[in-house]
Amino acid sequence: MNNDIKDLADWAKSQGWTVTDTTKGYTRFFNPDGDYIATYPATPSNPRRRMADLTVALKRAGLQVPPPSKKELRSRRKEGK
Amino acid sequence: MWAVTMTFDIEPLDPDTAEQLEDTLSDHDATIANLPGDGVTVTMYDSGDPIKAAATARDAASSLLGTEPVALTVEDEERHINHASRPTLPRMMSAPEVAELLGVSRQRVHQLRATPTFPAPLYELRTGPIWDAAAIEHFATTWERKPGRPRAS
Repeated sequence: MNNDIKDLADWAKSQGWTVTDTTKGYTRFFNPDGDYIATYPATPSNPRRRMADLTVALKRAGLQVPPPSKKELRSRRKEGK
Repeated sequence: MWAVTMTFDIEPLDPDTAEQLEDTLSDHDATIANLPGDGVTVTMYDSGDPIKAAATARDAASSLLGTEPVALTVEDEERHINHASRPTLPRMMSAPEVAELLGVSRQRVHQLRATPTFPAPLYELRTGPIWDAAAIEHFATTWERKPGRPRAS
């Protein structure tokens, strides 16, 4: 799995989604009903775009995304994001 | 650069087919996703004029999927990416957090629920109500406190 999507994949799994890696290194996301939703390539040509499009696809398919916690906000401020 | 998102009213694609189509449209950084019960979405990127970008994306995707889109949006790439990172859920607060924010006791929070301007909770769980933090913060700025015991009538 590409490291860019590790947090998103972990979150999706915690919400009952299935995330699998293919032999080509593609990561596939399936909703809790087992329906295939989208894929993230092993080496996308533009990771920023692909990450955004994957996030939108998963949200449209029902994955709830909470706002960042106070701890996450603090850590982002430290990293200057 | 423009992000063009189209919805096609077709049966869901299997992963291999979706990935092959994405490879075919790789010049446009295409992402193809299923929307269970609501078709398939294709997002592609193109430069130049937004109307031309929409037409290019529609032509490329329609010829591969064999049908015209039923919805199409064109968005500036930066705006599209910023929107993508937005949470789907609001910040939430339980009664102890509301009490802390307002500087009152938990019991007082439950009394305040009878105040007409106090926000209704988003959820009533067995453990107690949960509020939208933004609604409580707004209430905190407009709440007219009346300290002390109410006068006996």
